[in-house]
Amino acid sequence: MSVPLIEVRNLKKYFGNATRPVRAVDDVSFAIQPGETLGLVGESGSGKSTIGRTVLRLIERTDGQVLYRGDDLAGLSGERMRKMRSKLQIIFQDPYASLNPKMRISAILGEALSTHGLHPGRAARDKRIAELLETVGLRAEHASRFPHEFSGGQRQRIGVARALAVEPEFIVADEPLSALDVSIQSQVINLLADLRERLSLTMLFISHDLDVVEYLCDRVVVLYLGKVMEVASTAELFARPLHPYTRALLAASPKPDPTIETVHVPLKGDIPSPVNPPSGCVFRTRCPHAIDVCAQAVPALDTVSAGHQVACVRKELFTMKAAA
Amino acid sequence: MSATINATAPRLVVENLSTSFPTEDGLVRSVAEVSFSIAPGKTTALVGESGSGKSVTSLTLMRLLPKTANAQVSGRAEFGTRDGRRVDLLQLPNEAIRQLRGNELAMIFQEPMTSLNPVFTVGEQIAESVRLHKKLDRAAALAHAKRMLDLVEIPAAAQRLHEYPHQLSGGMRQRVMIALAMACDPTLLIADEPTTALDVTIQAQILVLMRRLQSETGMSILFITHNLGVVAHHADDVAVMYAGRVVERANVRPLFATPQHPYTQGLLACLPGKAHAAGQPRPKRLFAIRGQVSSPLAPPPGCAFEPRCDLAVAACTQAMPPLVAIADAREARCVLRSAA
Amino acid sequence: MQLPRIVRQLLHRRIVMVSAIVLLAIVVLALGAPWFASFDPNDTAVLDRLKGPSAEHLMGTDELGRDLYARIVYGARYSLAIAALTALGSVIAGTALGLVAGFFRRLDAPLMRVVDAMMSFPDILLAIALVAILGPSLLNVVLALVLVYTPRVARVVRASTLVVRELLFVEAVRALGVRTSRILWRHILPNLMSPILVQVSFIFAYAILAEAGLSFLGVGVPPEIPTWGTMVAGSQQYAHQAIWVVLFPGLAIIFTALSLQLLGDGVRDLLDPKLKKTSS
Repeated sequence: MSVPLIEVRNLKKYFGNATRPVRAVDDVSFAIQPGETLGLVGESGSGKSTIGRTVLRLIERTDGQVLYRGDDLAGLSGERMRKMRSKLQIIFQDPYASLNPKMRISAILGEALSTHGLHPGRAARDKRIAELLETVGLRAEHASRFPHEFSGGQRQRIGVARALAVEPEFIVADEPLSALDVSIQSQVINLLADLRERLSLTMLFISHDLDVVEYLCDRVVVLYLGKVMEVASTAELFARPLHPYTRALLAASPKPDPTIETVHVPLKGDIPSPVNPPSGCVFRTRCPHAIDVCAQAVPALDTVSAGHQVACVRKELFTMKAAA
Repeated sequence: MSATINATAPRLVVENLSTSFPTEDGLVRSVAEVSFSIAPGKTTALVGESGSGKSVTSLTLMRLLPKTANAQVSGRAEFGTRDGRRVDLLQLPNEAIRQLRGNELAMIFQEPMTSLNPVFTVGEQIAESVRLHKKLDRAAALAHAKRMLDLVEIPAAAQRLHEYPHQLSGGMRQRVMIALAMACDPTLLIADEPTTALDVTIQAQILVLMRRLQSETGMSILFITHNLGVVAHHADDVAVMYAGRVVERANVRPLFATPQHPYTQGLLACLPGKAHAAGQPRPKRLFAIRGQVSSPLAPPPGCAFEPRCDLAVAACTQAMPPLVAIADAREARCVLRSAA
Repeated sequence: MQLPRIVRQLLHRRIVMVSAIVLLAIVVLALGAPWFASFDPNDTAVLDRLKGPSAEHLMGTDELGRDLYARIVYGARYSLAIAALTALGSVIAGTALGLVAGFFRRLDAPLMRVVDAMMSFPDILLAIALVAILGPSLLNVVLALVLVYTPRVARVVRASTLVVRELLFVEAVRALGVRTSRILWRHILPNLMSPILVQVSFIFAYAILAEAGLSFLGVGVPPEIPTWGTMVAGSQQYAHQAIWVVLFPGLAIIFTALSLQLLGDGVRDLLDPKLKKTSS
């Protein structure tokens, strides 16, 4: 097994005061191999966005390690981390807010290039900007315009171009489709899939949309209230979900086909606050299969088969059944 | 329980609804020639993306467009009231529409935080609506409010009555919105993207709740959304909107099984959830509708979807195709389908 | 000819337009003083002292026979220069302070305590104390006023920096690895322009008034320099017999300060909603 490109070990991120912190990320571990696309799935309070930002050191972790090719990123000095950023990039959720409204596209992309000394000189830079725009499906003449002249989907493409400008190996895609119309989403999905293959990118794909995750990701981590519930390859997770939360999540996402009958009893109750998470298994307050033991200890993330891990004391409930 | 004299007459019939806004850069036709109907006890979904005009349609029907917008509205919206009259919502005087709104005609919005008044308790807000329309006194109104909170399955309803909106979670607030809407026993509920801002598991709860309320009270629902998964399982009839016009109307199953308009076909084809049947390998590329919706200030000369349509022919640029019936209870706005 | 949208909108508001015209007139008069005044402002003519407004002396003469109109027009140069330098100085210092305090969390508290300390002194007293220590001169008055107004600018800039710092595109350029200095200069500062511009116009107005007040109290510029404030100060004892000696300088102060205030209000009204739009 080669060294993972990115490895997260026992990552914790707490916000706020020390006595009652918001436990946004509470002991999360996973690894991403080079060329792999890992999906981070969860609802509000799952910590998925926080993990994305913490991995890139846009937010500083409270505890745990984030390793890039085996080296702890936290150990890097300010200047070295700055240089490292060319390898680790991010695409944001909100295409309307992620571009400086006062800068032309050429300036936005040019800044990315000059920050890391790429393609110096006016001619080389302009040429590269044109290339980047064409790579993402826009045109070279778009460089002279301002962000507000573009639609949401186009702005998202510009965001992708900016991330690609610094020639990254790893990209965190933080809900890149949520703010886009359905018909535009598939355009951007195709773009990401294309680029991923052409440029051998490794991706951490954060989303709440399970259908997109199933389409784009190789493996999936399911999060709830800052903790990992289940990890598996995409095929395995969607065919044989073992954690009650994963099963509820899959059942609750309506499939666009009226002939598929969903016999689904929705989960009761609300997502608890990350300031005051339930003791033991954080999912137990809404879990239809919770028993006394669930309140006593945080269930360990056990391996049930190759590459498939579940944090649930009752996982054997489903290991014999086919997926509902 | 709502009673209608003629139980089979549609609850709402919208005919040729058009809403235009004069702007600095020209007249924006947000909604044009929109027609659909909703049967009693049924759910009609208005499906569309940005710029489709679906939200403006619902605001126009409820007469909630801001005055400063100087909207130009034309068409008819025939509504069957509880006492059997049929009134045109667009022509009613302000006082009459106010008596209907929040009463027989209720609306819930996408963002419950901004639709609820932050300085009043939840109970007070529901009670206010009840007192206004049902003329109950304060104590009776509050008791009714508590019954409403129970109806929408809010736990510890008696306590919640005295809480403020910011103390509740997003899902709870949406339930309160529904309670507020249900308080006066509406016959038509307009739900404008009610679950879009909610988490998936909470969305499932809210949708099941709305279904249950509908079957218990027999109210009709106009469900506005862009989420085709929700439409597939919670709508009886569907009207697909594009650039301000209805481009296809059908019952839900035929629509998903055999979509007729190229836009509907494209929309369904580009969903990753429909990309492949279970067990088959993932396709390399998703279907994508090329381009984006045209600016309302520069509409294409003929069919609005033509610039993005793979099936377009010469006739598509010449005139806007009319919405024509192509089969039983099916309509499509496309020259390729109307020869039937 | 299509003027930029902001200018068009500004011109729609009549009051703003009037203020702008008045200010323009004052600036033109100040700059072109030698052409507009037929007399030398320092020429004394004791025989002509305290003459009322006439065809020859448009605004009359003061207690030393100097033409009031000339003194006002030349005085505009000094008053406007002092106010402009004050506005410039306090905006530069205040922005630097506010930007650093707002952006660097660890420096925020100590810098703001300094600012709080500066703000706890009433403006005029602080200015008086500083001029008393440093001695009366044009530059010292500017220095004193800059010290008085810098904290106000710093507060406003800090508040805006705190907001802009959290905007998504700022996080985006951090993620690119753009250097902090460039982030401050190229991304944060341009988005602070609206509140800064508003502050500039208000400080300009306050400075005109403050300088007039200080000079009136005798702790401003030396009396030989003809600012509007020194004119009022020097001639105040003759006010009851020759009201014009204080009326005209007083009106000049009022009109200039008022126009600046109204212009500042107009600019702020225009820019505020725009600021909200860009940050959402």
